[in-house]
Amino acid sequence: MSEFEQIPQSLSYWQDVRARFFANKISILGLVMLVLLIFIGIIGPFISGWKYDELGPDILSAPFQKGHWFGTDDLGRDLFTRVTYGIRLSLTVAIIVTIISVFVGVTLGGLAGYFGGWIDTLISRFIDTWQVIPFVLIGFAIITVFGSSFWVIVAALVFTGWYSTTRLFRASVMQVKSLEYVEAARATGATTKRIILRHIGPNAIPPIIVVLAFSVAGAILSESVYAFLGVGFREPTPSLGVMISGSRNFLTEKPFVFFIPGSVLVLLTLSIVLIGDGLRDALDPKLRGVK
Amino acid sequence: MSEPLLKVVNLEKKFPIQRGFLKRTVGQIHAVDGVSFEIGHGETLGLVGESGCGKSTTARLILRLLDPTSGEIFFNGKEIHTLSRQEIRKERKDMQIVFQDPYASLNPRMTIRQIVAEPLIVHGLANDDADPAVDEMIELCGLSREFGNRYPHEFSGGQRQRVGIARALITRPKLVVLDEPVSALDVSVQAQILNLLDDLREKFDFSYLFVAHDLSVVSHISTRVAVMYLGKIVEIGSREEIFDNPHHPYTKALISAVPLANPKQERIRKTTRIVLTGDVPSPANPPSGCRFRTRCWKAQEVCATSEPALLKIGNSYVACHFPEM
Repeated sequence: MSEFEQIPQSLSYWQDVRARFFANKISILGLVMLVLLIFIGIIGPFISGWKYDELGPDILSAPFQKGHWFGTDDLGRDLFTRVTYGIRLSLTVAIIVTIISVFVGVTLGGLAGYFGGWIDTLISRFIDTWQVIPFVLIGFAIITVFGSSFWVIVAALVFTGWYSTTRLFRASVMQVKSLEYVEAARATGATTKRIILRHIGPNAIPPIIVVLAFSVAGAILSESVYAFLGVGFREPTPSLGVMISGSRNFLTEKPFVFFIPGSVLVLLTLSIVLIGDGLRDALDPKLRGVK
Repeated sequence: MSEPLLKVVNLEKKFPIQRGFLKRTVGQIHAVDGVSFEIGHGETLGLVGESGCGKSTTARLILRLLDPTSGEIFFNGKEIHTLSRQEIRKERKDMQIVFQDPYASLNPRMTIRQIVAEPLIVHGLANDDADPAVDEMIELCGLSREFGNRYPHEFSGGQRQRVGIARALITRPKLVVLDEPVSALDVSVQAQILNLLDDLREKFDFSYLFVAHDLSVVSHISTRVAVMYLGKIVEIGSREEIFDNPHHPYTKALISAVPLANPKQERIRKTTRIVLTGDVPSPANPPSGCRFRTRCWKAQEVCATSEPALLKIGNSYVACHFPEM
């Protein structure tokens, strides 16, 4: 039959996604930037020859002088070493926060979206209530009470981030659940387990992947905001936020102390946002087959 | 007469209208209101009506994709309306559905072969999609078996609907519900799909419940036709009787809307055509008495006060106080 002639080469969904992601130059740029930053974060402390909290005699020395590639801060600590630790810390915190938020989001959002009814009402109203509490204040309260250790800060960021992933996954599941192919699966006699695993799950997850990327970027920024406000990590922890916060007293005389950790923070979040953007386009089923 | 394959008695479905924070029920939509009919073995019943008249709801109630508010459904000797979710799941092997929108009814993440094989796997009739019955069914529905590894987005609407039909027929069901299977397709493709459905019915000898909003589509394939209006059947009879000698004014109006191939007859049709005014009233607040009276040119006082029963006139059953003879 002639109607079969123009069928293009067959690609599975994920092959197609990969092909389209790698065809996007902007997202490749983001990926390259992120890989470079991670690479610097991993090897930086070994090649700089300084410890992150090692006080030196040269205070606020300019970049590329006296063995300090990025110069030193007001206590004479090597900025390059501190920035590389900052990349490690920011990414670790952000990834852990995102994993926990997604776990909570998929569980609660999936329950609310799939079962609906009173479960959905309970979870949704709880989120509505949670949302109106200003997030900086929650973080402030938690960290004031429990101190600014690593896990307390992770907890504070999860407390302010879990509901957006929950809402999103709930909406995603509800949307997929109402589609005709789910009803079709039910009509063929598929079990609830099979419907969730084969029909709803694979179709509700892609939007979450995009949010995952944006959530990592958001957590990096939130962590810095906390540090800047004095409720996140504190000296001498080499967080990017702590470094930016410490630079404000001599911003006009020695701007590099601000601009170096500042631009690393910007590049880090930008690279992740670019990747997220590329993923969103690549995962969009409406753009399938478009190169 | 032997026991029919499907018997529906006084089927009713009410959807609550909910408002506000606490989801108070403020009213009800009576989507299906006391529908009764039978489908014999190997028979095709066409169920026709405007959008929102409850025909798709009726189809979903029969398959228990929706739970009826009241009424009885007997299928293949079983009381479908009383079965639990587990029991109904097993019955689905014998009752399948083809959906209206071939773009929405196929999972975009599954290959054609996986989609067609799913009912077999679900009912334990095959272990995986490599079963030879899958390729065989794909070919029977007019697709080449090489396309089995492709994904739905690579196909046209007509081809996808063939996949939907293959999925419905793979378990060799006794009843196939066709929920407007061609209304989303181009006219040229519609004819191909209708012919395919007809051929397959001759081959496998099952029954169809063919839901459509267009009488001309149903005329090709049905042995009997039921016309629905606002949740009720207004006329039911053999295809010949409905088309040649319609008794209910609504049926008459629907038939006069079908274009004719013969230009002379078509010219006559255009001058005598019955054009209904207004829209279907809201099923949340249907008119008293006969539900069609607000759009009927024969309506009189009695139509507003008493509801006409479905009575035998000639060889059909008609619900009208002033049926056409």
